[in-house]
Amino acid sequence: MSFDAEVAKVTVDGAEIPRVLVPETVDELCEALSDLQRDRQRILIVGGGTRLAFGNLGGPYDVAVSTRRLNRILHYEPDDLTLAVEPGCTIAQVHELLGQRGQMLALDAAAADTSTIGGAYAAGLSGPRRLGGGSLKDWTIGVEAAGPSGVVAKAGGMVVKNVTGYDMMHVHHAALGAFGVVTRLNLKVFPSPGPARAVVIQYQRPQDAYAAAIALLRSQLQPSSLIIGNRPTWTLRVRCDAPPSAIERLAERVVTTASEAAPPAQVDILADEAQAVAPFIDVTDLRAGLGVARIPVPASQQLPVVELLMDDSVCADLGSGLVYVAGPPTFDWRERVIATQQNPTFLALPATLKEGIDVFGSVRPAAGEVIRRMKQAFDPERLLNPGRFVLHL
Amino acid sequence: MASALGPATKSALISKLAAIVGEAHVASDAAGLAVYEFDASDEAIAGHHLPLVAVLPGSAEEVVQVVNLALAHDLPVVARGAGTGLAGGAIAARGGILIVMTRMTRIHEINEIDRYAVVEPGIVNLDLSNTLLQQGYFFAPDPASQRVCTLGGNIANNSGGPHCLKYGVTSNHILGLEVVLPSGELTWVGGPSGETSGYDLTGAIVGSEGTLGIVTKAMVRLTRKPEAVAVLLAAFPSMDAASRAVSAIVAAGVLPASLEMMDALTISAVEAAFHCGYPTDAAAVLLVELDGLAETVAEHGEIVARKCREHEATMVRHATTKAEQDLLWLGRKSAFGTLGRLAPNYYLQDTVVPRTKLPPALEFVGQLGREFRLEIANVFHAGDGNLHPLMLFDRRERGAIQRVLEAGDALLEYCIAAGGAVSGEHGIGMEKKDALSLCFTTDDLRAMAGLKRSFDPRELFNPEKIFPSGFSCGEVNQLKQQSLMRDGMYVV
Amino acid sequence: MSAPVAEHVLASAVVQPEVLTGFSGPDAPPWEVINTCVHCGFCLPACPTYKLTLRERSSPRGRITLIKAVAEGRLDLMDPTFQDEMYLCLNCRACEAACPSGVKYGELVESARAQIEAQSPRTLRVRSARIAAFRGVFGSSRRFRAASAGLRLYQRTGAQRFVRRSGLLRRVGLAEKEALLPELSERFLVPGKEFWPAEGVRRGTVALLAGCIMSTAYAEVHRATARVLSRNGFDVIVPPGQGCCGALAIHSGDLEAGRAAARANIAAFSSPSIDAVVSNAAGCGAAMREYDFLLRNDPDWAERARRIAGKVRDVSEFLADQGLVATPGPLAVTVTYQEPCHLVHAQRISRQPRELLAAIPELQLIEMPESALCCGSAGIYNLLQPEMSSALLERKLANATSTGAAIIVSANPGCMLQMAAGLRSKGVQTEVVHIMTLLDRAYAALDVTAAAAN
Repeated sequence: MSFDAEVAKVTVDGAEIPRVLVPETVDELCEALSDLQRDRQRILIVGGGTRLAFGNLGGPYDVAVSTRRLNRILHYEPDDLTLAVEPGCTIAQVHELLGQRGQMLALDAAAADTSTIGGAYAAGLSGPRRLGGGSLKDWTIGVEAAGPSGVVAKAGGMVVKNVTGYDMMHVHHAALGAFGVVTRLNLKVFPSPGPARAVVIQYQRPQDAYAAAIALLRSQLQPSSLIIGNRPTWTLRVRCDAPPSAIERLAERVVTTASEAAPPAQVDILADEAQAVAPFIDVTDLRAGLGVARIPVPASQQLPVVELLMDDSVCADLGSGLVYVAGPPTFDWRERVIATQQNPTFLALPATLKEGIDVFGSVRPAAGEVIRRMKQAFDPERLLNPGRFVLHL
Repeated sequence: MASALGPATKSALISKLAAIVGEAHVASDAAGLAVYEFDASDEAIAGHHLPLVAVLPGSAEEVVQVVNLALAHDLPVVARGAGTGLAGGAIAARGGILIVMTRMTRIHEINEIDRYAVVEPGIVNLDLSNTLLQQGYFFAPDPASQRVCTLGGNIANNSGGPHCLKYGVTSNHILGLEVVLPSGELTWVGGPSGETSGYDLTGAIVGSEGTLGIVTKAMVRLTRKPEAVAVLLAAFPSMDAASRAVSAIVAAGVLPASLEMMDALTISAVEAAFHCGYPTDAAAVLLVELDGLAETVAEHGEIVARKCREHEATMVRHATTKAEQDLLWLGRKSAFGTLGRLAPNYYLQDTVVPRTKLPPALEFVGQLGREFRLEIANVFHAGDGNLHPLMLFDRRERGAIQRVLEAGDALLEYCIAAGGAVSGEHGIGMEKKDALSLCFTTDDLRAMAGLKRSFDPRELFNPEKIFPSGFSCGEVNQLKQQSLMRDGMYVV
Repeated sequence: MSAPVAEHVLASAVVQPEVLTGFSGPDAPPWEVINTCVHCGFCLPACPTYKLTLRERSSPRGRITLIKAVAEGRLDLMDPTFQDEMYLCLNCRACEAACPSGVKYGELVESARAQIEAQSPRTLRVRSARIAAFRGVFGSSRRFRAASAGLRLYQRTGAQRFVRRSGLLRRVGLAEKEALLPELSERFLVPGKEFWPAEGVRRGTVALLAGCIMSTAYAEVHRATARVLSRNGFDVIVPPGQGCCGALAIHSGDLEAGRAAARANIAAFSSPSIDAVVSNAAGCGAAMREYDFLLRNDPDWAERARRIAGKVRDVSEFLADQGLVATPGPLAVTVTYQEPCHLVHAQRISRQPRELLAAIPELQLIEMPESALCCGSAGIYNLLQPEMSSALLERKLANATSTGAAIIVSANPGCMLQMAAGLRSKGVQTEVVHIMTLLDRAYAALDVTAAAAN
């Protein structure tokens, strides 16, 4: 177990947690969990710490357990297109490893240098490239998670097709650690499709940007991601991936299709692929101290929602059917988002504004009952991230 | 339980069921029930289990009423689609009410922009895709039985199919579900967006073989029809050469839509039945489909052809017309059945190894054939490392079925030791529930049992499936003594 | 089967005999056929009765399961559901075409029906109707022609119009059946009485099966068939002594009546100068091709049956495979093609009729959806299972008329009667025409053009 200044202080919802444990191995983690359970210690699980703003007002926590040092690559077989990692691997670390072998995961995240893959998985945050390449939910082919007693249970495996037993990969995904501390993720990875282009098309009016985006969605051009941002102007950003022989023509066809649907004010085709998702990265950086919400709205219904929120920074992800919005962390802003009546999830809010709401949004009662029983089955004493999960579980 | 119902109670139950679904849609007589003793699995797997009564509901509301009636009588409920499952998943192992979903085939909504459709689970997979194709979309999971199997069955088994190499399995294509929970309540989970607010139970329910709920509607993801499709056929002098070509194709950075292999025995049976144009003198063929942008497909087509030739391919042919492509696929997708011509019975094993372990795994299959005196045909999803050795036998031959099952077990153990899995896409059902303890510890199973208990504490939804015999979700400790488990098996 | 089976597999095969407990006699459903089914379910979507009911017992796989259950003594042969299902089957054989394992389903159902007929008379009305039909009328062509002549009198005298209007038939429960009665031919085709010599270079001799319904209701189709064949270089004879092919009896389980018909026809067609036995009725051709199976246990007839069965060709198959030597004249019509079950499924003939249609200049073929789905006629099925039959007919007509074609082309009298009756009751003008009639018209068009040119 190590002590590291970088992770020595963990503050969540304005409260500093008195004690931080940083296990170096899964065995150490399990031992610690077992000890903590004996003492009925309530645990906050933390990875890179970039998404701590997400979660209901829970606690109080006796101790923080960091997965930051559980950052080994456990297995990488490029010819099998499979990768196994510990949860504390940063997203940048994974991208770099895969990049060396011409492979990739279509995962975009803010603060990729610090943000961990375990954190992205537990929080259920994946980026706009879900349209062309899926998300962590789709790529996770095996998971291991330690329960509150320190016992590790696994599911899935290292093969891309597997229906052996229940799909616990989907159970722990987006569960914010409520059902266990993830200790290993097995992922299927993909060959890099080739060079990418960011096609950035500016419009005067949001309805024009939507007309163009929907034309692209319905085309056979297979864009990797499609988002509309409102800063500084209404801008449609399209990521294209294709082999070298095809990429230029693809980018041009994207421009043509978009322009035919709605004449743009300006068009840029950029080799800097980061430009394709820049507004997403900006809006979903939860460390910025802003209020951030994710609103599930399918592409065809987004325009009126986006128009309601145009005073804030908006990133509408058409391929994922999600609208991200960042605004001042005020009561008015929160109410404005709730007023969209689209059951938003608040990814970041000040502690005071978390009072009285469920930041995960509402859950249908019958499903809620199942989720309650799941918490009871996996963590009956409510020691893991107590109160942070949906329904304040 | 079935036997616990007295004749008067049973007849009252049947009347109530008839009032819910209509008299014509209830079966309780000997012949009406006998047909539900089977699915597509061998009877050595399915055993001889009859439901107390079978119903064919016409709507979600009827399913809710039937389930609540079952709950009131403490009767198990088992959902069934077209009965093409190979693991006995749709068999009423503990009697009870069999809910046959084949009448629920409506398409409620097709939304091209948001790329989803809301459909009932009884719809046949291919009927759904053909309907969507008229608008330029398709439903990607395409199990070989897609002409017959229902969407509900695909969801229950998290079905694969040739095209899941590129497009992923059923789970990746289900956005949301309307489901009758074991509490008797009807609810929606998931939705059209990539992430739903709250917490999404959809992924847990897909692949749970009807043990966590009965799906009454599904919101499925639509995949846009690609602008170009190429189908290549390559012939090889050995299975080994073909499987090394598979790895080379993937290593070259090409992810085909599908990458299928067939051996000589399969080719001969397929050609006898359908005359598809497979080379009967090859030891193995690869059927490779590429799709996407025209340029990508052309470029990847050249790479695939080159890699095949580098690995001893004696012939590489492009199927240029749609008719030629369809014919090749017809042969591939009917292959299992055509092998029924070679012997009265067959046992189809479904296991997975990491792709790079294919050559030794196929060698092991060959050894098994010699050791257990079995004719074994191989036709499988090579790109996924998903093996489907098909063991031919004649049930009437003394000891044949035992030899087959022993060979199947030996193969499972081999695949798990090689870092593989017990089932790639056919499910666990009754067939492989005991094999689960080969790759999962009691702790692993206890966690899964926790999920089962959270949904179905009374264990009335498709009982006797998935979990090993003697493993009760309520009393999880029993398995400890029985477990054959080797820890961390899949860690290579 | 050409596939290699390793020696070590065969060497170990000590096969245990299985005992049929629920069936008996030489016509019991053969175990080896029952066992070919691996219950994969691929037959389900091909089956018309499954398509309409969506229930397992009304599917081929379900019926095989029931037959197996009876064979194993787990289900009684007298079980009413079992009997219902054996007769709800249209015996259209669509499942056989879909079956990857090659299960000979038709043989199973016919054998099962034979067992039911032998051991448990069904209700008196159905049974007496069937016996009268098969033994009394279909059993003898002479009697069939006599009965048909009576029918023609009924049509000609105006009694038909009177009876139709009176609703009398509906009151006695025969309305649907009466609607199926064909408009009979002016002049029946009597075997041995007519002959068509080959035109141009002679390519061979074909013997035409006159049949029962075809020779009375559709005698003109026969003459058209003969003209088309002769124009393409074949002598066409209609050998005397032939009669009903026996299909209707066989399908209903009256195998003895079927065998009697088969023997008569084998004798009638046995001349070595006959190059091919040609049928223009899909159901008859399919039945004759299976004479070898029907008489497999008859030492005196098995070999002769095999020889004749091997000579049987459907006329479309025969003409397309031999090739047309005379190009038909143009017909500027839109047609859609309805595939008779016993052509497409039982005989696997689908390409050849379309090739013949394509040979007619200016003709436009518009394919209908589900062209290979049964129309519900199925021999006398429409008389015995009116509900299922009319549901299938509705579907067929909807599919056919959705093409907007002026003519529905078929190749089987039962289908033609069924569809014509359906169209008549709907008041739809679409014509139902046998493919040979259409070809004959095309050749006639050629003559008209030639005459005009002269």
